[in-house]
Amino acid sequence: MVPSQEAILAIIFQALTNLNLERDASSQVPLDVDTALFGGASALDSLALVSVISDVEMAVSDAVGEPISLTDDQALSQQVSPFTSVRTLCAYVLQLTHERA
Amino acid sequence: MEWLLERFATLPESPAFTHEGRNVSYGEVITKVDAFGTEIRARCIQPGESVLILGDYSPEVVCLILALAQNRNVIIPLSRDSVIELDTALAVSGCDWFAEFEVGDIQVNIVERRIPTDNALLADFLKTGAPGLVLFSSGSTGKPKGILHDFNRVADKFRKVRQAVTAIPFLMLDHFGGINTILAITSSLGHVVTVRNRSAASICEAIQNFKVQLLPTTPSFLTMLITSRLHENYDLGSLKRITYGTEVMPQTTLDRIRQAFPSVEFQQTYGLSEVGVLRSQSRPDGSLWVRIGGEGFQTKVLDDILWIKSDYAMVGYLNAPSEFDAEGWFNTQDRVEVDGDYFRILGRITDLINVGGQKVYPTEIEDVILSLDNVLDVAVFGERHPLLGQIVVAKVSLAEPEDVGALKVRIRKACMAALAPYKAPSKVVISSETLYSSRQKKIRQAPKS
Repeated sequence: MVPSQEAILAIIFQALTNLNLERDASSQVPLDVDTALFGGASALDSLALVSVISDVEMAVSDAVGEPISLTDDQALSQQVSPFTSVRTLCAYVLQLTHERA
Repeated sequence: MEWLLERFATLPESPAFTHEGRNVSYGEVITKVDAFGTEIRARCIQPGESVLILGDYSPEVVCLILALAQNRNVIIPLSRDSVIELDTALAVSGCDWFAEFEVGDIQVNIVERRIPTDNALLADFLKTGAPGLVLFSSGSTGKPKGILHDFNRVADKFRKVRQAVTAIPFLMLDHFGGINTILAITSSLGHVVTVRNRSAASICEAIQNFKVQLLPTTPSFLTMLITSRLHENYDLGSLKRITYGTEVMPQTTLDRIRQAFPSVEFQQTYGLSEVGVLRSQSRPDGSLWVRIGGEGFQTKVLDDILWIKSDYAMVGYLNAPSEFDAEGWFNTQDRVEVDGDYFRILGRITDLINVGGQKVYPTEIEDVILSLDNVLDVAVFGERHPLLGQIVVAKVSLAEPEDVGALKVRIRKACMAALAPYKAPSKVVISSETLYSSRQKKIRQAPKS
């Protein structure tokens, strides 16, 4: 089954919520589609990003019933990095799940 | 080997084995070794020929091994659920005879099975006229290596008589630690209590029923025992000593098990198939610091890595170049800390996880996760990752079902509180499968993708 955009956003926000649970009040990551995930504007370091991606991968894989990789060559060779923001990640997951369907 | 049989003859009435409810004395052991010797000659099994033995500990299995050693054969012991596949083993060692024990390990069927090997090391060794012993490394990282030992040299370590104890040969027949245990117990005229399987219940039952004093085991087994709390259902008051080795002990498990068995002495052992098992003494403060060495062993530390020189070292690998340096030192690949003459084993450098250039030992993370509620056990390993080289993955088995997201938050918080942030697992997987190999060692492997 192909998850909806809302479902994918919910998965990403859940991953960020989990991340926030381990961070103190001053370094909470906003649950917003424009939240930067990677790069200068992001509050996430590479370790936090990898942890969030892993959560999203597992939840999306569960949702579609097959393993989905968000860090394979295809993901890393996108013109706009899927990890730029919540919005780009959501768009990439949506694209990937439609390709698989 | 004659000295061992002569020693058996000094106490012929003394119990040597209890196997499947049957007692076998040292006098009967001598008779059985003689009977196998007669059979070996009748079948024309020539000195120098290789004999693969498939089975688990029993008086008969041990007596056949001793009779073959007397006949100067090369013995290849293999257990039925070996981590090494039979065909893989045979491809490395070859064999001339195949001795398969039936379930129960009393009746044996010996057949001629010629699988030739053109092995220069073995050919040279056979010229010495000594009996051989072939064991296999578990091959958790790469191809299993066949390790050739001079059987007499392995046994010689036990010429000095030590106190007789009743013990369970916990480690398997095809593990150096297992052969070490059986020689250690019998050479001191102790009492071997065999078990049908290595489950916690079966081990506890044997300890209770046969007043076992010594349990040589693995940290993985002790973790399983203490989290299952099965020991509480049995009278294990006879236990005097528990030894643990073959992998790094989590401090959490050691603390818990010491609390559960306050009058038992805990001793860490240290050994490798290539160099033998060293004598060891744990620091009595309940820590993981251990003094290792003993007669015939020398140790040194180079760049935090432990090296060993041993009088009981293997002859060599059958299928790999020697890993001894020109002076006979062996690189254990174990990273250690040193405090005076005590060592603390941190883990295999081959198990190291490299997270963006930062080195992580699985055991330090496992130790933190094991202390959490609802966690029965955990195996930590590295998984390839394009962004960081490798990431830390924790495979966890739970007592009660739990949401994986909530579990991951708990695990990461605990790891970040105790360790550097890069050591917190990026991925947490809940596993319903066993985290141990048949050698009762933790399987630290990423699933094949």
